[in-house]
Amino acid sequence: MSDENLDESVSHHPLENRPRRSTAFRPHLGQRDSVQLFLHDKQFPVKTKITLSDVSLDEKGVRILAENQAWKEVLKICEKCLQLGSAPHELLQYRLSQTISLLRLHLHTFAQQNIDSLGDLNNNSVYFYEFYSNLYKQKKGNMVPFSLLLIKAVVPHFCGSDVQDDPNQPSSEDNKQTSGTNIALDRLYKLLQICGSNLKDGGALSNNRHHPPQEPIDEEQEAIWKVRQSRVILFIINCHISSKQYSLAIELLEKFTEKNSNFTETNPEQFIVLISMLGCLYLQCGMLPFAEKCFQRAQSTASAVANPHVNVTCRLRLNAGYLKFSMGRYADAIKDFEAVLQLDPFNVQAANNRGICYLYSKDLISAINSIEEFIRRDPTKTLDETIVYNLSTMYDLESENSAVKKKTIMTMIGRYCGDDFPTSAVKL
Amino acid sequence: MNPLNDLPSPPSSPGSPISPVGTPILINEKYPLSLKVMRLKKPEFAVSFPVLLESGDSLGSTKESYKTNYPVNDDKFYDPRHTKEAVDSNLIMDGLGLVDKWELPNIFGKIYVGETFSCFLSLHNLTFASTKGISVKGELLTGNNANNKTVLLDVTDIKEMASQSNADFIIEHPLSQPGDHTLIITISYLSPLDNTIQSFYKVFKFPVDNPLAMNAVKIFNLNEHVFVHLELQNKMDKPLFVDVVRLDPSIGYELTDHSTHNSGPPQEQLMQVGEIRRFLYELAALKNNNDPVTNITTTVLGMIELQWKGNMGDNGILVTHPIQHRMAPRQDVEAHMDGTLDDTSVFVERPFTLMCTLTNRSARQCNLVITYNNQKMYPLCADGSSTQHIGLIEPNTSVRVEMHLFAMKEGLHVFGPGVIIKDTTHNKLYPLGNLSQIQVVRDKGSKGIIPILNDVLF
Repeated sequence: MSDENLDESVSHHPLENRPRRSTAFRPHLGQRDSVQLFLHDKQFPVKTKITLSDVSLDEKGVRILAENQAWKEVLKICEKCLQLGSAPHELLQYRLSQTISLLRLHLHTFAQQNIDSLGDLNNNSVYFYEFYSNLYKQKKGNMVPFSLLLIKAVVPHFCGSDVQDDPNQPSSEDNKQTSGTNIALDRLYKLLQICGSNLKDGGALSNNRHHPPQEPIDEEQEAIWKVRQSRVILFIINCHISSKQYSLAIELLEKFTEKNSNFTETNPEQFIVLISMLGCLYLQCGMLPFAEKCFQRAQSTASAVANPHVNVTCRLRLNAGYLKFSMGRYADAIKDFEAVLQLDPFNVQAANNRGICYLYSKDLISAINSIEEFIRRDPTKTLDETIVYNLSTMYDLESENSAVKKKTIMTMIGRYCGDDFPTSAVKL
Repeated sequence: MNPLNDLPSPPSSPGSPISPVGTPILINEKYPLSLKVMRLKKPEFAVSFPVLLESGDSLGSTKESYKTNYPVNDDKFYDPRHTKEAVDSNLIMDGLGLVDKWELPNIFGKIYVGETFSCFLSLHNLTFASTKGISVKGELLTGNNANNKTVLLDVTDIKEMASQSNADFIIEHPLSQPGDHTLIITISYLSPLDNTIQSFYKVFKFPVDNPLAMNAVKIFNLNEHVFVHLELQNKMDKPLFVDVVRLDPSIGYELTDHSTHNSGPPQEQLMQVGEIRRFLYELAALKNNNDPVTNITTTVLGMIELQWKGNMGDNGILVTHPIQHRMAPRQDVEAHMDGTLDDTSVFVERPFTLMCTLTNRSARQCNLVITYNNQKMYPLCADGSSTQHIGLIEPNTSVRVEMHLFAMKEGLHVFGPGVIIKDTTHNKLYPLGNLSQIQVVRDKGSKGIIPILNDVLF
C-alpha cells in the first residue's frame, strides 16, 4: 500500500465498531528511513553535538555546553575545571553546574552525593569570604550560591527513602527520618527561615517570633530575597503535591495566591497561570466546584487586561477544556484544545491532552495520529517527556509492533533533543 | 491491566506487578489477532521539579534555566512588556512544579465499590491478510460464583479486519460488590486457512475494595425524634473528596441534617487516608395526632447515599442498605417533660415544680393517678403526698400536670424511675422510664448542710 493510501485511511474517521487502520509501520526500514517516514520527509535541523574539546575550559565553556543541552559534557568540563583549581566562589559555581547537570540527567543519587561532599554549607568557615581575606578584601558573609542551598534542600525528595539525614551532622535518634520527602521539607522550612530573616517583615508565612535583621537591608537585596522566599514556598508545595498531600498543598497554594494577589496589577499573565494551577490542583482532587471558581477568577482577571497576550487566551481555553473533560464531555474538551492549537501550534499541553481526550472517546487511532501530527510539526520543539510517555503507552495499547515505533521516537529524541531527555519515557 | 493468567493456567501470585497495558499471551499457536486491555482510569496532572538558578550563577544567563521569560542580555529572550515587578513574578512562577499535562496512569491501581470499572480494549490484526467474521464478548465474573456473570460487551458485527488495523471498545460497569472480579474476553474469528471458527479468550483478575468503612450507625431516641449517628472512615489509599453524604429518609420522616461535613475551608474538605468523620441526622416522624396507636416495632428510617469524586472528576456513588430501627412500643398513655415551672433553676433542698404533659393515645377514657416511690427516685423525692390524682382524660387529649418535688443532692439526676402512672379504669401501669435529667445546683442562700438521708423521713 502506498503512503498516500495509508494516509487516507488514517484520516478517515471510522464508524462505530468498525476496524480502523493503524499508523505507519515498516518493520524492515532502517532507523533513518523510519524517521523520515514518520516526519513525512520534512527536514529539521539536527541538534549539533558539542563536546568538551570544542570549548574552552572555563565558565564560558560550561555555558556553551549547557546552552546546547550537552549535559554529560557539562559534567565532564566541571570535573576538569574543579581539578584545575580556581577562586573559591568559582569552584562553587562549577559544583553547582555539575549538580545541575546531574539533576538534568536524572542521576539524583549522584547529585545528592555531590552536594553532601561539600559538607555543611551554612556554617563551615571555608565558605565565608572572610576566610580568604587576601582574595576578597571587602566582601563579607557566606559565598555559597542560594541555588545550591535550594537544590541541597530538595534533592532528598527525589532519592526517596534510601537517603540518610544530613551525613555531615551528628545523627541522633530523635531526628532520624526515613522518608526523603520529610528531610526535604525539613530543609526547605529551614531555608524559608533564612529567607525570612533577610526580609524586613519576616515575609510570607512568618510568625510572631520573627526578629528583624540587625543590619539594614537595601531594597535590591530585599527584592532578591523575596523572590527566593516565594520559590522556596513553591518548592514546599511541589513536595506536597508529588507526595499526594493535597490538603497541605491546597492550603499553602491558597495562601500563596492571596499573598501574591498584587500580581493581578503587576503581572496579570502570571497570576492567571497561578490561579489556573490552583484550579488544576482542585481538579486533581476531584473538587470540581472549587476548580470552577479558580477558573472563573482567572477569567475575570483576564477580562480586566486591555490587550491580553495570546498565552492568556490559550490558558483560559485550556482551563475550559479541563473542566469539560472532568465532566466527561470529551468531544467539547477536544474543541477547546483544538482552539488553543490554532492560536499556539506548539502548545504541548493542548496537544497532549487532546490526544488523551481522543483515547477516552474510544478513538485510539485518532489519539495516536493527533500526537504524531503534533510531533511532526517540529520535533525540535514538540518532543516532550510527558507527550512521549503517553504516546508510548498508546503504542503499547494499539498493537504488538509498538517496539518498532518506539525505536523511531527514540531515534528522533537522539537527533533533536538534548541528552537530558529521560529515555525511560519511551518505555522500551 | 495485565492479563494475570490465561485459563486454565494457575492464577498468578497477588503481588505480581501489574502494568496498565496487557501483553497478550498466546495459547498454543499464534493467532492472527491480538488483544490489549488497559484500565481507563482518569489521568493525572504531571509534576516536575524545575531546576532553578539565579542570574548571578554561571549558568544563570542561559535560557535553559528558566521556564518563563527572563531578561538576560539577549534581545530575542528579553520581553519588553515586563517591568521589574513582572520579572520578579516570572522568576517566582518558575518554581511552580505542577504542569497541566496529563499523564496516563502507569499502574492498574486500586478500584473500589461504587466506582465504575472502565476499560479500553484494543483488538489488532497482526497479520498481513484480512481476518473475517470476528466477534468479541466481554463478561465480568463477580466473586467465585460462575453464575454471577454479567455480559458487558457482545459485538458480532465485525465482518472483516484489514491487515494491521484496529478495533477499539470501551467497557464500563459500575461495581457494586467487593471481592475478586474476573474479566473474561472471548474473541472468535474465521480462520484464514480453513474458514473454520476459531476462538481464544483472555482472563483478567482484579480485586475490588470498600472505599469507605461505615464504622458505626447508632440510633438514639429522644421524645418523638430519632437521631442517627454515623461514622465514616476513608479506607482508600489516597485523600478522598466526599461530595455528598445524605440520609434519604423514608416516607413519613422529616430530616434535619446536623452534620458539619464540607463546611470548612477547602483543604479540610478532603478526607485524609484513614480519617474518620461523624454525621448526625435527626428524624422527626410526621404523624397525625388523631392516628390511633399503632405498635409497629421495626421501621426503616432511610438509606444513606454517598457520592465522591476522584481525580479529574472520577465519580463514585454508594447507597447503603436501609437503616432499620426498632422503635420502643408506644404506650396508651405518654408523658412528655416540659421543664420546670417558669423555667426556674432547681436548687438543692428547695421545692420545685416540674411541668409534664400526659397524653391519652388510646381510644378510651382513662382515669390517671401518679404514684411516687421516693426510694427509687432518690436523690429526688416527691414534695408532699406520694400519690397524685389527675382525673379523667378523654381519648387523644392531653393534660398538663404539675409535679411537686425536691432534690436532696446537687448534681445531674435522672427523673422517671420510681414514678408510675396508673390507669385505674383499666388497671394498667405505665412506668415513666428515664423521662429526663434534672440538674440540681446549690442555692447561694443555702447553708450548705445536706441532711443525712433517713428512710424514716418517708
